[in-house]
Amino acid sequence: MLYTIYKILLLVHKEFIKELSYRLSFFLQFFSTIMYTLIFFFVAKVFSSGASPIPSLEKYNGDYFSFVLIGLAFMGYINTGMRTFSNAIRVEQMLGTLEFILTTPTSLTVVLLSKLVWNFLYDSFHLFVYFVMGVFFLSARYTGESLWTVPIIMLLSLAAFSSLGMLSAGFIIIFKRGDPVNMFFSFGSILLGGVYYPIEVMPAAMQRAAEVLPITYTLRLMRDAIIRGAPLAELAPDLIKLTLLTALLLPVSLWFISFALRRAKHDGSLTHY
Amino acid sequence: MLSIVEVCKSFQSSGMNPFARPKVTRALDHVSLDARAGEIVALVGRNGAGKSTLMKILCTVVTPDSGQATVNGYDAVRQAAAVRRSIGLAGGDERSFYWRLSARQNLHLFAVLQNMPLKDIKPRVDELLDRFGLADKADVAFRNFSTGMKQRLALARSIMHNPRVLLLDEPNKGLDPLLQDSLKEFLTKELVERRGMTLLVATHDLDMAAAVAHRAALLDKGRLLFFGKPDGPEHLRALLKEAAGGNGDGFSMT
Repeated sequence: MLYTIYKILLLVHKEFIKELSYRLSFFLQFFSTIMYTLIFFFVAKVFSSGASPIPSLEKYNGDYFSFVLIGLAFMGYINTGMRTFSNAIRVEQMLGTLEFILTTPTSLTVVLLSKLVWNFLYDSFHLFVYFVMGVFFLSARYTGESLWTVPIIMLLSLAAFSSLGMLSAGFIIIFKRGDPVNMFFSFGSILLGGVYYPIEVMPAAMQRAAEVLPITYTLRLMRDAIIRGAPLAELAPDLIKLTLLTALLLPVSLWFISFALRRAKHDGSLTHY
Repeated sequence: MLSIVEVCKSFQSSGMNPFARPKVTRALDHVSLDARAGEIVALVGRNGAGKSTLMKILCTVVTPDSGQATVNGYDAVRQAAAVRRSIGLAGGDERSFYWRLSARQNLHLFAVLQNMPLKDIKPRVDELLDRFGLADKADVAFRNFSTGMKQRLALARSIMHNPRVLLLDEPNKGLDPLLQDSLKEFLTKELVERRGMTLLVATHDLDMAAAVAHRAALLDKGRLLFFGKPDGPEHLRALLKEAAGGNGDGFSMT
């Protein structure tokens, strides 16, 4: 167990060295995080300049900037969960390292987990930048009362999105390119999940569709916890729904990725890209 | 130590026309061969003969359609994890390293992936870098290595965990003549005679195959045409020509 943790940490360190060697890319991503925060800060000013408050934002004190900043910041985690596994497999296939790794006693799961940990750390840095910018330099207002629930929501969400990510990786293993799971859930999450606007502004049918997406619960829970400081009892129904979704998705995803691996080994395409 | 019994493998390829019926290619057709402990077996054949497929089956990244492949007594399909612990692999593909890491970092990482005891890794990495003449380049990024240096590092990585069976794919690719001689000596004297490893060497270099191998297996279009002690490189060349029906699919001259 300790050796596996060391293995994961070493693979994370490898990602860190790789990232450091692409300094410009790192700087540009940092810059784009700041730019997005500024863009939505000014967009929020448009909403706040009206005389009457926006009804769908009332619950969040009518503060669009604080609302959207959470959507922006946590979208990174959602992407991480969704795309890490499929990206990792595709990158290792293209680098040519996948075949060699598969000939070692290390399981592919360990390699994929290390990528998840790395991306989680990388996104946490961006999350930190979003909140430092928003809270200390701009006008985002949050409460610390239920902040302790945030790690629980994040872990549950990561498990839900990683399950979708495994389904997505299964498609990449079989089809190499073209991943309907990622496309459906990524677009669906942005359109329906309440990243940029409250889901209450959408027609009733779309709101119902949003209820099957994990992102809807993640963002609602995060906003309720961070903006409103809602107590655990109030968060519980959404936490339970998110847990149920994860419990449903995880076994299906595990089965599908192992099916995809068996199939690729049989048709000899495991290392093709 | 290594045994392949009646192994068959076919692949489907769809070609460039997405609407065409997939073409079935028989990569291995009832191939049987073996390698004893401390023996070098060369795998020779033209391009597309089935050498790489056979290697991939032994590496557990491809499953055979039928037949059985065993390494160190373990079945390559049912006991894949045990097979992976028994083998070392040096492929002809230099892309199998992390180009942004140094030689030392690459070896360290792959040693951990091979589950080597942590206390043994550093001295072993230093020893191998020294032995393969890479000590002074240990902290240089892999991307700055020459082809020969990459090949030497691949060989160092393959024996790092002291595997019982070593699978080598074009081990002398990119090596200058002197290094090729040194490689032959290293394979025969150090790995086989001293350490008793079993080597399966896939190569197009018939001189090398005849020089180092105790036995050679000649594959053509997935079929095993010859398996035995080669009587010099000319013997293997003649067998290859015979299999190809003269000169084979060579270049056409104007």
